[in-house]
Amino acid sequence: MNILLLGWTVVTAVPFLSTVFRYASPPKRKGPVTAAVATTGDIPPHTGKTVSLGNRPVLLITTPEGQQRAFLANCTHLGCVVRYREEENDIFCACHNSVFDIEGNNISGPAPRPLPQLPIEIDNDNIIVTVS
Amino acid sequence: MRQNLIHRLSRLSPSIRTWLTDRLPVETIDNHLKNKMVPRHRHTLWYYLGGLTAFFLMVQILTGVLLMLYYKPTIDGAHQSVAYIINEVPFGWLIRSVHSWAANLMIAALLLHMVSVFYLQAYRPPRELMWMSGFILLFLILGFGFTGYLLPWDDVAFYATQIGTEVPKSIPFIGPTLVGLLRGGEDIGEATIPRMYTLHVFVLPIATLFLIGVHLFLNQYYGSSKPIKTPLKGEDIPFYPNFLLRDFRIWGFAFILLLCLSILMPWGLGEEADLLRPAPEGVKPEWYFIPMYQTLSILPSQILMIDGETFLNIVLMIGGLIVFLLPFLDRKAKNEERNKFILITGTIIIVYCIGITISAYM
Repeated sequence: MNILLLGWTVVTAVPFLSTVFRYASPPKRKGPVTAAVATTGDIPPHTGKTVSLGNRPVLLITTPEGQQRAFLANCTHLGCVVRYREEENDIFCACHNSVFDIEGNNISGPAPRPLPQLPIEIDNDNIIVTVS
Repeated sequence: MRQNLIHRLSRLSPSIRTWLTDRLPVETIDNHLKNKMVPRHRHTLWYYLGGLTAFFLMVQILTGVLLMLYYKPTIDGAHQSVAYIINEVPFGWLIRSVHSWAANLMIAALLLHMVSVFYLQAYRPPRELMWMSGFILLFLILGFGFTGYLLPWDDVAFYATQIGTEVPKSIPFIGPTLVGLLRGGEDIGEATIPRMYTLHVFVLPIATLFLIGVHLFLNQYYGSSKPIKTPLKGEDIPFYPNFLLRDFRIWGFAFILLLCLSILMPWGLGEEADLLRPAPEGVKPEWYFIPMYQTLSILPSQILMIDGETFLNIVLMIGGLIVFLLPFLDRKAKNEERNKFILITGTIIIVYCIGITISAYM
Protein backbone atom coordinates (compact mmCIF):
# COMPACT_ATOMS: atom_id res chain seq x y z
CA MET A 1 0.00 0.00 0.00
CA ASN A 2 2.82 2.38 0.96
CA ILE A 3 4.69 1.57 -2.26
CA LEU A 4 1.54 2.26 -4.26
CA LEU A 5 1.09 5.59 -2.49
CA LEU A 6 4.73 6.53 -3.11
CA GLY A 7 4.44 5.53 -6.76
CA TRP A 8 1.27 7.58 -7.17
CA THR A 9 2.95 10.61 -5.53
CA VAL A 10 5.93 10.38 -7.88
CA VAL A 11 3.72 9.85 -10.93
CA THR A 12 1.70 12.99 -10.14
CA ALA A 13 4.55 15.13 -8.76
CA VAL A 14 6.94 14.78 -11.72
CA PRO A 15 4.54 16.10 -14.41
CA PHE A 16 3.28 18.77 -12.01
CA LEU A 17 6.77 20.09 -11.22
CA SER A 18 7.82 19.79 -14.85
CA THR A 19 4.78 21.86 -15.93
CA VAL A 20 5.54 24.53 -13.30
CA PHE A 21 9.20 24.64 -14.40
CA ARG A 22 8.31 24.91 -18.10
CA TYR A 23 5.77 27.63 -17.34
CA ALA A 24 8.24 29.68 -15.28
CA SER A 25 11.07 29.33 -17.84
CA PRO A 26 10.88 32.29 -20.22
CA PRO A 27 10.66 31.55 -23.95
CA LYS A 28 13.93 31.84 -25.87
CA ARG A 29 14.62 35.03 -27.78
CA LYS A 30 13.30 34.79 -31.35
CA GLY A 31 15.87 34.87 -34.21
CA PRO A 32 18.13 37.79 -35.19
CA VAL A 33 16.80 41.34 -35.24
CA THR A 34 18.01 43.75 -37.91
CA ALA A 35 17.16 47.45 -37.88
CA ALA A 36 18.42 50.91 -38.70
CA VAL A 37 19.41 52.23 -35.27
CA ALA A 38 21.02 55.59 -36.07
CA THR A 39 22.44 57.68 -38.88
CA THR A 40 26.13 58.30 -39.43
CA GLY A 41 25.48 61.97 -38.57
CA ASP A 42 24.35 60.94 -35.07
CA ILE A 43 27.80 59.59 -34.26
CA PRO A 44 30.64 61.88 -35.38
CA PRO A 45 34.21 60.48 -35.37
CA HIS A 46 35.62 59.82 -31.91
CA THR A 47 32.21 59.44 -30.24
CA GLY A 48 29.90 56.63 -29.15
CA LYS A 49 26.19 56.13 -28.57
CA THR A 50 24.13 53.42 -26.90
CA VAL A 51 20.92 52.37 -28.63
CA SER A 52 18.36 49.64 -28.06
CA LEU A 53 17.87 46.80 -30.51
CA GLY A 54 15.67 43.80 -29.74
CA ASN A 55 15.55 44.97 -26.09
CA ARG A 56 19.35 44.79 -25.87
CA PRO A 57 21.80 47.67 -25.48
CA VAL A 58 24.06 48.17 -28.50
CA LEU A 59 27.10 50.45 -28.42
CA LEU A 60 27.80 52.24 -31.69
CA ILE A 61 31.13 53.98 -32.03
CA THR A 62 32.80 55.91 -34.82
CA THR A 63 36.56 55.61 -34.65
CA PRO A 64 38.80 58.67 -35.04
CA GLU A 65 39.38 57.37 -38.60
CA GLY A 66 35.63 57.51 -39.29
CA GLN A 67 34.78 53.78 -39.22
CA GLN A 68 31.57 52.64 -37.56
CA ARG A 69 31.50 49.66 -35.20
CA ALA A 70 28.71 48.06 -33.20
CA PHE A 71 29.06 45.95 -30.08
CA LEU A 72 26.69 44.30 -27.69
CA ALA A 73 27.03 46.82 -24.83
CA ASN A 74 26.91 44.31 -21.96
CA CYS A 75 30.31 43.81 -20.32
CA THR A 76 31.47 40.21 -20.67
CA HIS A 77 32.26 40.16 -16.95
CA LEU A 78 28.89 40.71 -15.25
CA GLY A 79 26.74 42.33 -17.88
CA CYS A 80 26.84 46.02 -16.91
CA VAL A 81 26.32 48.46 -19.78
CA VAL A 82 29.68 49.75 -21.04
CA ARG A 83 30.43 53.20 -22.48
CA TYR A 84 32.82 54.72 -24.99
CA ARG A 85 35.44 57.03 -23.41
CA GLU A 86 36.40 59.73 -25.84
CA GLU A 87 39.48 60.86 -23.89
CA GLU A 88 41.02 57.38 -23.74
CA ASN A 89 39.50 56.16 -27.05
CA ASP A 90 38.44 52.92 -25.38
CA ILE A 91 35.34 51.18 -24.01
CA PHE A 92 34.91 51.14 -20.24
CA CYS A 93 32.74 49.29 -17.72
CA ALA A 94 32.33 51.18 -14.44
CA CYS A 95 31.13 48.15 -12.44
CA HIS A 96 34.56 46.53 -12.08
CA ASN A 97 36.73 48.82 -14.22
CA SER A 98 37.12 46.52 -17.22
CA VAL A 99 38.58 48.20 -20.31
CA PHE A 100 38.17 47.15 -23.96
CA ASP A 101 39.89 48.65 -27.00
CA ILE A 102 37.83 49.97 -29.91
CA GLU A 103 38.00 46.55 -31.56
CA GLY A 104 36.18 45.20 -28.48
CA ASN A 105 39.20 43.28 -27.15
CA ASN A 106 39.40 43.04 -23.35
CA ILE A 107 42.65 44.75 -22.39
CA SER A 108 42.42 45.17 -18.62
CA GLY A 109 40.18 44.39 -15.67
CA PRO A 110 38.28 41.20 -14.92
CA ALA A 111 36.33 40.93 -18.21
CA PRO A 112 37.14 37.44 -19.52
CA ARG A 113 36.22 37.87 -23.19
CA PRO A 114 36.06 40.54 -25.92
CA LEU A 115 32.77 42.38 -26.46
CA PRO A 116 30.70 40.62 -29.14
CA GLN A 117 30.98 42.70 -32.32
CA LEU A 118 27.76 42.96 -34.34
CA PRO A 119 27.36 42.95 -38.13
CA ILE A 120 26.89 46.49 -39.43
CA GLU A 121 25.82 47.95 -42.76
CA ILE A 122 25.59 51.54 -43.93
CA ASP A 123 22.70 52.27 -46.27
CA ASN A 124 22.15 55.92 -47.28
CA ASP A 125 23.71 57.15 -44.03
CA ASN A 126 21.56 54.73 -42.01
CA ILE A 127 23.48 52.45 -39.68
CA ILE A 128 21.87 49.01 -39.88
CA VAL A 129 22.81 46.54 -37.14
CA THR A 130 21.90 42.92 -36.62
CA VAL A 131 21.71 41.39 -33.17
CA SER A 132 21.14 37.67 -32.78
CA MET B 1 8.98 35.22 39.30
CA ARG B 2 7.71 32.35 37.22
CA GLN B 3 4.04 32.22 36.42
CA ASN B 4 2.77 29.42 34.25
CA LEU B 5 0.01 29.58 31.68
CA ILE B 6 -2.51 27.84 33.94
CA HIS B 7 -1.85 30.42 36.66
CA ARG B 8 -2.39 33.24 34.16
CA LEU B 9 -5.66 31.70 32.97
CA SER B 10 -6.88 31.57 36.57
CA ARG B 11 -7.15 35.37 36.45
CA LEU B 12 -9.85 35.12 33.78
CA SER B 13 -13.52 34.76 34.64
CA PRO B 14 -14.45 31.09 35.37
CA SER B 15 -16.72 30.78 32.34
CA ILE B 16 -14.01 31.99 29.89
CA ARG B 17 -11.37 29.87 31.63
CA THR B 18 -13.48 26.74 31.38
CA TRP B 19 -14.34 27.47 27.77
CA LEU B 20 -10.63 27.83 26.89
CA THR B 21 -9.36 24.85 28.89
CA ASP B 22 -12.08 22.64 27.35
CA ARG B 23 -10.95 23.54 23.87
CA LEU B 24 -7.18 24.08 24.09
CA PRO B 25 -4.44 21.70 25.31
CA VAL B 26 -3.41 24.26 27.94
CA GLU B 27 -1.32 21.85 29.99
CA THR B 28 0.57 20.55 26.95
CA ILE B 29 1.29 24.11 25.77
CA ASP B 30 2.37 25.07 29.28
CA ASN B 31 4.72 22.09 29.57
CA HIS B 32 6.22 22.91 26.18
CA LEU B 33 6.75 26.58 27.10
CA LYS B 34 8.34 25.58 30.41
CA ASN B 35 10.80 23.33 28.66
CA LYS B 36 13.14 26.05 27.36
CA MET B 37 15.74 27.41 29.78
CA VAL B 38 18.38 30.04 29.03
CA PRO B 39 21.75 29.54 30.72
CA ARG B 40 23.28 32.48 32.56
CA HIS B 41 26.97 33.16 31.83
CA ARG B 42 29.21 35.89 30.43
CA HIS B 43 27.98 35.28 26.86
CA THR B 44 24.24 35.39 27.63
CA LEU B 45 23.95 38.69 25.72
CA TRP B 46 24.32 36.83 22.43
CA TYR B 47 21.06 34.97 23.03
CA TYR B 48 19.10 38.14 22.25
CA LEU B 49 20.15 38.23 18.59
CA GLY B 50 17.78 35.53 17.33
CA GLY B 51 14.79 37.29 18.89
CA LEU B 52 16.01 40.62 17.57
CA THR B 53 16.11 39.20 14.04
CA ALA B 54 12.54 37.94 14.51
CA PHE B 55 11.48 41.39 15.70
CA PHE B 56 12.87 43.08 12.59
CA LEU B 57 11.18 40.43 10.44
CA MET B 58 7.84 41.30 12.05
CA VAL B 59 8.47 44.97 11.26
CA GLN B 60 9.28 43.95 7.68
CA ILE B 61 6.04 42.02 7.29
CA LEU B 62 3.93 44.88 8.67
CA THR B 63 5.59 47.66 6.65
CA GLY B 64 5.78 45.39 3.58
CA VAL B 65 2.01 44.83 3.66
CA LEU B 66 1.50 48.61 3.93
CA LEU B 67 3.83 49.27 0.96
CA MET B 68 1.92 46.72 -1.11
CA LEU B 69 -1.15 48.96 -0.91
CA TYR B 70 0.48 51.43 -3.33
CA TYR B 71 3.38 49.65 -5.02
CA LYS B 72 2.96 48.70 -8.71
CA PRO B 73 5.21 45.83 -9.88
CA THR B 74 5.55 46.94 -13.52
CA ILE B 75 8.41 48.56 -15.41
CA ASP B 76 6.41 51.78 -15.86
CA GLY B 77 4.83 51.79 -12.43
CA ALA B 78 7.58 50.59 -10.06
CA HIS B 79 9.70 53.74 -9.74
CA GLN B 80 6.70 56.07 -10.01
CA SER B 81 4.77 54.23 -7.32
CA VAL B 82 7.72 54.30 -4.90
CA ALA B 83 8.16 58.03 -5.61
CA TYR B 84 4.41 58.44 -4.96
CA ILE B 85 4.67 56.56 -1.66
CA ILE B 86 7.57 58.77 -0.59
CA ASN B 87 6.23 62.11 -1.79
CA GLU B 88 2.43 61.91 -1.71
CA VAL B 89 1.16 59.24 0.67
CA PRO B 90 0.83 60.45 4.29
CA PHE B 91 3.75 58.94 6.25
CA GLY B 92 4.68 56.99 3.11
CA TRP B 93 8.29 58.15 3.37
CA LEU B 94 8.40 56.85 6.96
CA ILE B 95 6.90 53.43 6.18
CA ARG B 96 9.28 52.99 3.24
CA SER B 97 12.25 54.19 5.26
CA VAL B 98 11.41 51.87 8.17
CA HIS B 99 11.05 48.96 5.71
CA SER B 100 14.47 49.62 4.16
CA TRP B 101 16.29 50.27 7.44
CA ALA B 102 14.66 47.29 9.15
CA ALA B 103 15.80 45.08 6.25
CA ASN B 104 19.40 46.15 6.83
CA LEU B 105 19.17 45.82 10.61
CA MET B 106 17.52 42.40 10.26
CA ILE B 107 20.38 41.13 8.10
CA ALA B 108 22.94 42.65 10.49
CA ALA B 109 21.24 40.98 13.48
CA LEU B 110 21.01 37.68 11.62
CA LEU B 111 24.68 37.72 10.61
CA LEU B 112 25.70 38.53 14.20
CA HIS B 113 23.40 35.75 15.44
CA MET B 114 25.06 33.28 13.12
CA VAL B 115 28.56 34.47 14.06
CA SER B 116 27.71 34.14 17.77
CA VAL B 117 26.37 30.60 17.26
CA PHE B 118 29.58 29.81 15.41
CA TYR B 119 31.87 31.15 18.15
CA LEU B 120 29.84 29.54 20.95
CA GLN B 121 29.87 26.34 18.85
CA ALA B 122 26.18 26.01 19.63
CA TYR B 123 25.75 23.96 16.46
CA ARG B 124 27.13 20.84 18.15
CA PRO B 125 24.88 17.85 18.81
CA PRO B 126 21.96 17.68 19.32
CA ARG B 127 21.42 21.07 17.64
CA GLU B 128 22.63 20.20 14.11
CA LEU B 129 19.20 20.75 12.58
CA MET B 130 18.93 24.16 14.23
CA TRP B 131 22.18 25.23 12.58
CA MET B 132 21.10 23.82 9.22
CA SER B 133 17.66 25.46 9.33
CA GLY B 134 19.33 28.72 10.41
CA PHE B 135 21.78 28.50 7.52
CA ILE B 136 18.93 28.09 5.01
CA LEU B 137 17.10 30.96 6.74
CA LEU B 138 20.16 33.17 6.20
CA PHE B 139 19.91 32.54 2.47
CA LEU B 140 16.18 33.18 2.44
CA ILE B 141 16.64 36.47 4.30
CA LEU B 142 19.44 37.51 1.91
CA GLY B 143 16.99 36.55 -0.85
CA PHE B 144 14.53 39.07 0.61
CA GLY B 145 17.24 41.74 0.44
CA PHE B 146 18.16 40.82 -3.10
CA THR B 147 14.64 40.60 -4.54
CA GLY B 148 13.44 43.69 -2.67
CA TYR B 149 16.39 45.75 -3.83
CA LEU B 150 15.23 45.82 -7.47
CA LEU B 151 11.63 46.78 -6.71
CA PRO B 152 12.15 50.61 -6.56
CA TRP B 153 13.64 50.26 -10.09
CA ASP B 154 16.28 52.94 -9.68
CA ASP B 155 19.76 53.02 -11.19
CA VAL B 156 21.64 51.40 -8.31
CA ALA B 157 18.92 48.76 -7.87
CA PHE B 158 19.11 47.90 -11.55
CA TYR B 159 22.88 47.45 -11.57
CA ALA B 160 22.96 45.55 -8.29
CA THR B 161 20.41 43.13 -9.75
CA GLN B 162 22.23 42.99 -13.07
CA ILE B 163 25.43 41.91 -11.33
CA GLY B 164 23.67 39.73 -8.76
CA THR B 165 21.78 37.76 -11.41
CA GLU B 166 24.79 37.52 -13.71
CA VAL B 167 26.99 35.81 -11.09
CA PRO B 168 24.98 32.54 -10.94
CA LYS B 169 25.09 32.35 -14.76
CA SER B 170 28.49 30.71 -14.54
CA ILE B 171 27.32 27.90 -12.22
CA PRO B 172 28.03 24.76 -14.22
CA PHE B 173 24.96 23.15 -15.91
CA ILE B 174 22.14 25.01 -14.15
CA GLY B 175 23.46 28.62 -14.23
CA PRO B 176 21.79 29.99 -17.40
CA THR B 177 18.45 28.29 -16.57
CA LEU B 178 18.52 29.72 -13.06
CA VAL B 179 19.27 33.22 -14.36
CA GLY B 180 16.48 32.92 -16.95
CA LEU B 181 14.03 31.95 -14.20
CA LEU B 182 15.09 34.92 -12.06
CA ARG B 183 15.09 37.50 -14.86
CA GLY B 184 12.15 36.23 -16.86
CA GLY B 185 14.33 36.39 -19.96
CA GLU B 186 17.94 36.67 -20.99
CA ASP B 187 18.22 40.27 -19.77
CA ILE B 188 16.76 42.30 -16.93
CA GLY B 189 13.64 44.03 -18.16
CA GLU B 190 9.91 44.32 -17.69
CA ALA B 191 9.57 40.58 -16.97
CA THR B 192 12.03 40.80 -14.06
CA ILE B 193 10.06 43.08 -11.72
CA PRO B 194 6.96 40.83 -11.37
CA ARG B 195 9.22 37.83 -10.76
CA MET B 196 11.21 39.56 -8.05
CA TYR B 197 7.99 40.88 -6.56
CA THR B 198 6.37 37.43 -6.48
CA LEU B 199 9.46 35.98 -4.83
CA HIS B 200 9.65 38.88 -2.36
CA VAL B 201 6.04 38.96 -1.18
CA PHE B 202 4.91 35.38 -1.64
CA VAL B 203 7.45 32.61 -2.23
CA LEU B 204 10.16 33.73 0.20
CA PRO B 205 7.75 34.66 3.04
CA ILE B 206 6.06 31.22 2.90
CA ALA B 207 9.39 29.39 2.90
CA THR B 208 10.80 31.66 5.62
CA LEU B 209 7.80 31.37 7.95
CA PHE B 210 7.82 27.60 7.59
CA LEU B 211 11.54 27.37 8.40
CA ILE B 212 11.23 29.81 11.29
CA GLY B 213 8.54 27.52 12.68
CA VAL B 214 10.94 24.58 12.45
CA HIS B 215 13.81 26.62 13.92
CA LEU B 216 11.73 27.89 16.86
CA PHE B 217 10.26 24.48 17.57
CA LEU B 218 13.76 22.98 17.77
CA ASN B 219 14.93 25.91 19.88
CA GLN B 220 12.02 25.42 22.26
CA TYR B 221 12.62 21.67 22.40
CA TYR B 222 16.39 21.77 23.05
CA GLY B 223 16.63 25.09 24.87
CA SER B 224 19.65 27.36 24.52
CA SER B 225 23.06 25.75 24.22
CA LYS B 226 25.63 26.18 26.97
CA PRO B 227 28.99 27.33 25.62
CA ILE B 228 31.94 24.94 25.97
CA LYS B 229 34.05 25.38 29.12
CA THR B 230 32.28 28.57 30.23
CA PRO B 231 31.43 28.90 33.93
CA LEU B 232 27.74 29.43 34.61
CA LYS B 233 26.47 32.28 36.78
CA GLY B 234 23.69 30.87 38.91
CA GLU B 235 20.52 29.09 37.82
CA ASP B 236 19.19 29.04 34.26
CA ILE B 237 16.51 31.59 33.37
CA PRO B 238 13.14 30.27 32.17
CA PHE B 239 12.61 31.54 28.63
CA TYR B 240 8.89 31.99 29.19
CA PRO B 241 8.11 34.51 30.52
CA ASN B 242 11.35 35.84 32.07
CA PHE B 243 13.75 35.88 29.15
CA LEU B 244 10.96 36.80 26.73
CA LEU B 245 10.26 39.94 28.77
CA ARG B 246 13.95 40.84 28.53
CA ASP B 247 13.68 40.24 24.79
CA PHE B 248 10.81 42.76 24.66
CA ARG B 249 13.03 45.32 26.37
CA ILE B 250 15.71 44.85 23.68
CA TRP B 251 13.02 45.09 20.99
CA GLY B 252 11.94 48.41 22.49
CA PHE B 253 15.46 49.80 22.14
CA ALA B 254 15.72 48.36 18.62
CA PHE B 255 12.44 50.03 17.67
CA ILE B 256 13.71 53.41 18.91
CA LEU B 257 16.96 52.94 16.95
CA LEU B 258 14.97 51.98 13.85
CA LEU B 259 12.75 55.04 14.12
CA CYS B 260 15.74 57.35 14.68
CA LEU B 261 17.53 56.00 11.61
CA SER B 262 14.37 56.14 9.49
CA ILE B 263 13.56 59.71 10.47
CA LEU B 264 17.07 61.18 10.59
CA MET B 265 18.36 59.35 7.51
CA PRO B 266 15.29 58.61 5.35
CA TRP B 267 15.94 56.04 2.66
CA GLY B 268 16.40 57.72 -0.72
CA LEU B 269 15.28 56.86 -4.21
CA GLY B 270 17.70 57.18 -7.13
CA GLU B 271 17.00 58.09 -10.73
CA GLU B 272 14.70 55.73 -12.61
CA ALA B 273 16.62 52.82 -14.16
CA ASP B 274 17.44 53.17 -17.84
CA LEU B 275 18.42 49.96 -19.60
CA LEU B 276 20.66 51.88 -22.00
CA ARG B 277 22.46 54.12 -19.52
CA PRO B 278 26.06 53.01 -18.89
CA ALA B 279 26.83 51.85 -15.36
CA PRO B 280 27.50 54.84 -13.10
CA GLU B 281 30.99 55.03 -11.56
CA GLY B 282 31.23 53.65 -8.05
CA VAL B 283 28.04 51.61 -8.32
CA LYS B 284 27.78 49.13 -5.43
CA PRO B 285 25.26 46.62 -4.16
CA GLU B 286 24.04 46.62 -0.54
CA TRP B 287 26.76 46.16 2.10
CA TYR B 288 25.95 42.50 2.71
CA PHE B 289 26.79 41.62 -0.90
CA ILE B 290 29.97 43.74 -1.00
CA PRO B 291 32.42 40.93 -0.06
CA MET B 292 31.31 38.94 -3.11
CA TYR B 293 31.13 42.03 -5.35
CA GLN B 294 34.61 43.26 -4.39
CA THR B 295 36.12 39.79 -4.63
CA LEU B 296 34.83 39.64 -8.21
CA SER B 297 36.71 42.84 -9.02
CA ILE B 298 40.05 41.57 -7.71
CA LEU B 299 39.88 38.10 -9.23
CA PRO B 300 41.71 37.75 -12.54
CA SER B 301 39.54 36.96 -15.57
CA GLN B 302 40.96 33.41 -15.78
CA ILE B 303 41.95 31.14 -12.88
CA LEU B 304 43.05 27.55 -13.46
CA MET B 305 41.70 27.75 -17.04
CA ILE B 306 38.21 28.81 -15.91
CA ASP B 307 36.49 32.22 -15.72
CA GLY B 308 37.02 34.21 -12.51
CA GLU B 309 33.30 34.25 -11.63
CA THR B 310 32.93 30.52 -12.29
CA PHE B 311 35.86 29.96 -9.96
CA LEU B 312 34.24 32.14 -7.28
CA ASN B 313 30.91 30.31 -7.69
CA ILE B 314 32.62 26.95 -7.21
CA VAL B 315 34.50 28.23 -4.13
CA LEU B 316 31.29 29.70 -2.66
CA MET B 317 29.31 26.51 -3.26
CA ILE B 318 31.97 24.33 -1.67
CA GLY B 319 32.37 26.84 1.20
CA GLY B 320 28.60 27.00 1.70
CA LEU B 321 28.34 23.23 1.82
CA ILE B 322 31.13 23.06 4.41
CA VAL B 323 29.40 25.67 6.60
CA PHE B 324 26.05 23.90 6.20
CA LEU B 325 27.57 20.60 7.29
CA LEU B 326 29.76 22.16 9.99
CA PRO B 327 28.06 20.34 12.92
CA PHE B 328 29.03 17.02 11.34
CA LEU B 329 32.56 18.11 10.43
CA ASP B 330 33.51 19.59 13.80
CA ARG B 331 34.28 16.36 15.65
CA LYS B 332 35.94 18.12 18.59
CA ALA B 333 32.82 20.15 19.42
CA LYS B 334 30.89 16.88 19.69
CA ASN B 335 33.17 15.99 22.57
CA GLU B 336 32.74 19.41 24.22
CA GLU B 337 36.19 20.61 23.07
CA ARG B 338 36.89 23.91 21.34
CA ASN B 339 38.05 23.39 17.76
CA LYS B 340 40.80 25.97 17.25
CA PHE B 341 41.29 25.17 13.56
CA ILE B 342 37.64 25.85 12.74
CA LEU B 343 37.51 28.95 14.94
CA ILE B 344 40.66 30.44 13.38
CA THR B 345 39.52 29.63 9.82
CA GLY B 346 36.13 31.22 10.52
CA THR B 347 37.81 34.29 12.01
CA ILE B 348 40.01 34.72 8.92
CA ILE B 349 36.94 34.59 6.65
CA ILE B 350 35.03 37.06 8.84
CA VAL B 351 38.00 39.47 8.98
CA TYR B 352 38.37 39.20 5.18
CA CYS B 353 34.66 40.03 4.64
CA ILE B 354 34.80 43.02 7.03
CA GLY B 355 38.10 44.26 5.58
CA ILE B 356 37.02 44.07 1.95
CA THR B 357 33.70 45.74 2.79
CA ILE B 358 35.46 48.65 4.48
CA SER B 359 37.92 48.94 1.57
CA ALA B 360 34.98 49.21 -0.87
CA TYR B 361 33.63 52.27 0.91
CA MET B 362 36.99 54.05 1.25
